[in-house]
Amino acid sequence: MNKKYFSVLCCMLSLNAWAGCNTSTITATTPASNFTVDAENGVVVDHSTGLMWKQCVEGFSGSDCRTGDTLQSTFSQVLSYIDSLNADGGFAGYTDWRLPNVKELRSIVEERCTRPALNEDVFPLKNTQASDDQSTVNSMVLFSSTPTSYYDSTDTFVWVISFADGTLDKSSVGQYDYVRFFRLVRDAR
Amino acid sequence: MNRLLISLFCLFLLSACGEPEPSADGTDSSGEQTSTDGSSGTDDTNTDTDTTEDTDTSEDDTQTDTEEDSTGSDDSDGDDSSSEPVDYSIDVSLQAPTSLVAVVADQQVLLRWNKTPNAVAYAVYYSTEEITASSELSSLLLAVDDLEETSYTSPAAYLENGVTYYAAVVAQTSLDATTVSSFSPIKTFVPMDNGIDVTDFAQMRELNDTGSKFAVSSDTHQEACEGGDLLPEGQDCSFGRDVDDIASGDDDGLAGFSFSKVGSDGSILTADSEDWNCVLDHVTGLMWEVKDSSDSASGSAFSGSLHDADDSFTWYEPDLSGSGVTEGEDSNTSNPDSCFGYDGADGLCNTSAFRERVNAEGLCGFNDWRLPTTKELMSLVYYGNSFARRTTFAIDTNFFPFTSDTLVDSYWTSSPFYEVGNSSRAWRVYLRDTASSGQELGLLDGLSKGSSLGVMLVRTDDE
Repeated sequence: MNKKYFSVLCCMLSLNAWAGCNTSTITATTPASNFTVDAENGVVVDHSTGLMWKQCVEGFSGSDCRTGDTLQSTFSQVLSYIDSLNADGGFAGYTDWRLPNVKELRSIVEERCTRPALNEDVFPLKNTQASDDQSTVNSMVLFSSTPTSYYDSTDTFVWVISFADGTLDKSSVGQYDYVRFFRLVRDAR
Repeated sequence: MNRLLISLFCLFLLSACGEPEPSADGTDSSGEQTSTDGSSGTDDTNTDTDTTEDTDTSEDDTQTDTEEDSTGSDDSDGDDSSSEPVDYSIDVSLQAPTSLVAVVADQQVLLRWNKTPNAVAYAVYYSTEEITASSELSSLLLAVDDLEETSYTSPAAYLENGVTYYAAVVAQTSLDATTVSSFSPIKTFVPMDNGIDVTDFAQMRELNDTGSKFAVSSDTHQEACEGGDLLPEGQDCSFGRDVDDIASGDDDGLAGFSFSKVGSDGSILTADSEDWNCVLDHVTGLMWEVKDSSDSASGSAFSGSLHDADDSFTWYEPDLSGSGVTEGEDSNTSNPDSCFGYDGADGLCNTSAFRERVNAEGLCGFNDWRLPTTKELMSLVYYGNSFARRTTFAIDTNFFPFTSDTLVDSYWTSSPFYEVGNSSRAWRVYLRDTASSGQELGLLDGLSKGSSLGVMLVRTDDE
């Protein structure tokens, strides 16, 4: 049922011609059956990895992640934000939230979908309120906690993942200090 | 079921699998077993469970001299199979289980670990006191032993919510031996009423960690997981198997990786073996093809074997094609002769042709080799290296001995790269990078299927 509305919504948005899902041939990498969705508390648990995720990317909230606005921060701001969140009572009763490493973050990429490469039945990513346009939201780039390899020790980058398609990229935490989106995870195992 | 049989077996062979102190135990256990055989209701905590394993055994842990104390109802209920009061001792030469994970629920826990080579069964120990690698088995409570599965679900209402428990699993190489392996990684867990149904997690597997052990700051890479201006305690280096005292040992792979070398006949070899053909990853349960040495040349005239490290292949997977996904290219138009076995006709250098050749060969005794998915190939990536440390590989070269002159940088996955209106690409992963100063190490992106890349085949060893 959700799916039906979703496809309708998808097609309407696909005036944004780059978005969509190939559900006929490409094997789902994040089928809904892998997850327990606890929309009331805003968390989902992946049975295959034992990781618990915040259902909404930071900045948004509510069971459909429509409340709030886009939030992009520098790597330094992200780490401080999480530190404060855990110190101030946490979220959904847990105080061990953290930034996912690059393998964990890549594990929620839905490879049969693009812009966003997410299963939106599990991780809703709507944008009725946000000040950014929908294409920015659908192609959001998220921080991982993993530094990249480097040539000089002063090249300071961490891995980021574009949820336009699931591709990895590196993002400066030093000289350019880019702002990115982020989503929180904790161990449920 | 198994445990029931074992218990009955023990009843008849008290001397064989029982405690070798005839006076106390002989009278004790025979009395108890006859009584509990008849009335399973003697154990007060069993009333809400229906598993035969639980009810057929007695609260005879009084036999086990070390366990009389503690959370009484807990161990009496859990000592399913420990009607045999075996005093195990640790033999460090036996391989220990890797990757112990736990999912907690209301007064309950699911523990899951990975199949351990040469193990026929496992024993689960727990305690409310902290367990360390040097803890004595006799100081811990035995939840179950002779367990052939690689997971253990405690009976319902077995544990106390809000209490911190520590658990460890040891491997048994035979059912009658009294020596067991050293501990798996120690797992800490706190049962709670969280609405979780542990049966959902029967297939759970820990992801491989990244191997990242150093913090980054805004102006430099730190030499450890500390210092700098960017909260190291929030970065990758502070979490996961890499920082687990047991899992992070380097004998079985760098950082948190846990590999075994596998011989041509499928046998598990010791870590110092110099002749191996495959690698088993104990965390993911995947077995990987290992490439032969490279000589900076590829093609039918140069490649020394089917597994030549310099060989490259186009992405060609007719079985995976369908609506919106193309089968790829069966040959590289500009450089078709890029692998061992190329003959210009049937012997082409593409992914499916290569896979068929390896399955016909029966690498390491198996015929179910396939291309890895993105998630599988990414699981092998070691993100702890850096070009600045003169390393050009994003993989543990002690187990995957690539040489610096190999022609191959990145490797195909089986996963199509999805784009609206364009299905010409598939996912690939960089396991090596010299061309761009190391900054592509561990990168995943999409590439045109007609390109020639390396292939490392995989198979599922442990479901």
